[in-house]
Amino acid sequence: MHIPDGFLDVKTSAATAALAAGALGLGLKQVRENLPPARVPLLGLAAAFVFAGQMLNFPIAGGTSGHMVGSVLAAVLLGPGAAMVALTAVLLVQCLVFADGGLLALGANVFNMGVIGAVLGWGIHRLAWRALGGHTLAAAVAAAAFAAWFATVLAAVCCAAELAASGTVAARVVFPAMAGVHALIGVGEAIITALVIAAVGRARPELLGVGVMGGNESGKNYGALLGYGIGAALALAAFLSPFASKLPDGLDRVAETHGFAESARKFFTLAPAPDYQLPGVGSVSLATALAGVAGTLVVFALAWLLARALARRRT
Amino acid sequence: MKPPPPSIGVAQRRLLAALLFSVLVTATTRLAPFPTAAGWTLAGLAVALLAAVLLCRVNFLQWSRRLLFLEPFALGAATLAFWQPHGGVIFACAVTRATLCLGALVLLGQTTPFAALLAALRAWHFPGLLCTTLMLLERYRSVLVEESARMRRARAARVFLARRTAHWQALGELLGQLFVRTLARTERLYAAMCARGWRDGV
Repeated sequence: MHIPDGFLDVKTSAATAALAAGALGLGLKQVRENLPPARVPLLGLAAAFVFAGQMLNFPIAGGTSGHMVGSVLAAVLLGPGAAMVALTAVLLVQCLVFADGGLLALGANVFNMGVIGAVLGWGIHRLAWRALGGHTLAAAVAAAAFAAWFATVLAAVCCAAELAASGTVAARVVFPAMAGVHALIGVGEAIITALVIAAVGRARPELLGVGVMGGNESGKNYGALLGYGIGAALALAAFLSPFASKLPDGLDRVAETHGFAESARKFFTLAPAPDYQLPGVGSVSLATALAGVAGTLVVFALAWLLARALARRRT
Repeated sequence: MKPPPPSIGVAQRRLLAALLFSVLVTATTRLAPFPTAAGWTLAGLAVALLAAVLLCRVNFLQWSRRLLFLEPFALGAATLAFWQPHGGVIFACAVTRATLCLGALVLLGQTTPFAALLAALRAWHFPGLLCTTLMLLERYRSVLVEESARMRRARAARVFLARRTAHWQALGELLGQLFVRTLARTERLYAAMCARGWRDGV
């Protein structure tokens, strides 16, 4: 999900960089206030842990393999502010040392994976954990799996919005493509996150209850940060929607005049989630949207059931 | 023979140059009238990049190999650009811009070690906590990667049957253990830092 340079225009890069910098400043402030001095080096070592985790591949069907991003894993283990700082460090090193992800696109990458992935992912985890009935390990594991999947899809949707706002890719194509592919990738992320949380929970159960960072982890301290994350996401959506809505119109017209819709449909039969149309619905865009929602719900239910089953068996 | 590490000022200038170059490349297609003026500007920027590569006396083969290795990622992402009006032109634009920016970034990585870049960030008054995190990440990155490889090797040496589910479980177990070990390492590291007179944020 690392966006290289050249895909985002200057306006989008600047906007996302400002949002990411604001969130990072808030996160650093939260960490500085809550972090005991003995845990300061943990930020760096946790970043190295995330880096090592991203290098381990897990097998997917058909001989391919993927790797995790680790946003939600870091957020559950460290808390949202610390996870965001650690992920920012990882992304900076990947950009400057390995040229993975662009320099100009760094703000967008930090926003997608650090702010949306870690902070919103942490919020989703807390909500799901509470909804599943409190402080058992099984609930924590199931909530982590759910949050990991959801945060992966949300980050992909943000990435798609940035690409569409830059005019690089048509919104009609990039939203279903990114959301569809990452709904599948997110299942891998969810499984591995759940397994790691379960393993840590069994080895050191005290870590999951209060959080590694010590101090007061009741969620009150991070309310402002979470509020910022949601606010930033809404701001991004509001900022992007005028650009996004312009593009489909152009595509619609060309699709009608050149029969272009047919080739687009052909492309999607190659994708892992083939055929984004629902039968019996007249408008193409309405059908695509409905199919997207239906697909999202199906994978959502799948991830949820999988997480419940895994958690029950392993605890 | 290794060249001496660049000074803070040099690292700052290189970082700024890479950033400026990326902005110029990215802004070109919006500002210059399409296609001829934008094409000439991009060609000029490409010549400037090649000149910089030659002037910096980096290993040209190494630079181009690294660029070729990273190019498929950009190409893969750019294929999505095809499905829109004037898709071919936008695709070509995106790939050209991505390649030029990537070239500059690879050059920066080849000429300037991370420690020098970190010193440049510190001199620009980046938050101290972030700088400390970056420093420790750079120091312990390879340590933890090697540790996880060691744990994998140890498991592979003892386990004969590996079904796919077993693989997933082992991976989860391994990362969980790695995190617990990382915590223990942090405690040792903190004691060592305190023994050397470390104070908050230094």
